[in-house]
Amino acid sequence: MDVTLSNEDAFAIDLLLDRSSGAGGNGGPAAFVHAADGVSPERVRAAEKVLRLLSLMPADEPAADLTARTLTRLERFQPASMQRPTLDPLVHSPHPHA
Amino acid sequence: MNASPYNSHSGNGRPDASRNGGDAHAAVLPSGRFGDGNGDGASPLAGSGVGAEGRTDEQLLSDYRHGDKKAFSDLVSRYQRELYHFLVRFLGNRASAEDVFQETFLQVHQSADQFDLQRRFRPWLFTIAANKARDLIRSQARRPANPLQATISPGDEESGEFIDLMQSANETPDEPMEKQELQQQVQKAVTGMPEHLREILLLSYFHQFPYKQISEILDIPLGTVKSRLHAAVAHFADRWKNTAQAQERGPGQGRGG
Repeated sequence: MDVTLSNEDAFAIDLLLDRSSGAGGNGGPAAFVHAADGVSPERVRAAEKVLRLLSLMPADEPAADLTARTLTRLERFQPASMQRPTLDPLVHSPHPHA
Repeated sequence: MNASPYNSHSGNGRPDASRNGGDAHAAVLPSGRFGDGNGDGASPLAGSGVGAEGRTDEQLLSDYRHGDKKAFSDLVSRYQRELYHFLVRFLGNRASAEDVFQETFLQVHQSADQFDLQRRFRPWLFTIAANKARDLIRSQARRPANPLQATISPGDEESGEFIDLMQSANETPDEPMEKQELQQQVQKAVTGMPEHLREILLLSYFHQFPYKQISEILDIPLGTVKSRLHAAVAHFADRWKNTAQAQERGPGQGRGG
């Protein structure tokens, strides 16, 4: 079934999720929304409540060795001829720590 | 112990905006985003022994181009948790998520020289990951071509039934559900969504990409980002409302969704 939001709900969601506009992303813009913004604070609060449910979605943690296995796979793929040159020690000598 | 020159662990990387059960809107800037990427050669920190925390993603990639293998392993480690979370939520299983995770960084390695260091690394990384994840889904699907359009065709995201978010919010069950049951219901609602809606919801809500960056990642117009995201939220809210109503009806009455 195709579903979508009303204009007001859509506006509330954009306020909450569109971080490029500088709005939202910090979990609580409802208090700062005025009716003149085109959406009621109550509707923004309702949108926040629905979105907050998403935070309950679990996600398995990655295996501790995922990075290591990824790098190993990379190394197996990379032929010796494609090895990147190592840093020239005369040019890129470690800086002494302060 | 693997003696690979790549094999190093500089920590678990940036905090993941999608902590389990936590507030995904906690504004935590990724550690790789301070300062401007140095696109003109290795960073002055390359090979200095300064940890990954002192370098942006773009600096790490630049250093890798200049031969600092540890920089690449730092990048992988930095994104291990966040990228894996995106993939496991999108693909629905660990094995596929791990496979695409590795394929993604293989692609990063292969394309490192072509990456414009004036751009942001993170959206590029997720572009690669999302493309590879979709490729995997398509290769596994038994449906006709264009499964991403199977449910909602381009331009049709705004033509469906209207879902009232206030109604969905008010129909949160009065009887508190066990947290595990809540998580299962939410997971069911999200994993049951069409892939293109689930994908955009993950990118926006859990990984907090601005609309403009989502437009670049998915290679769709900004207007489509909005309409698709609205459809995704509506889809989730509708499923949740059905779940809440089924909960109120009590056991044995069947679950909505």
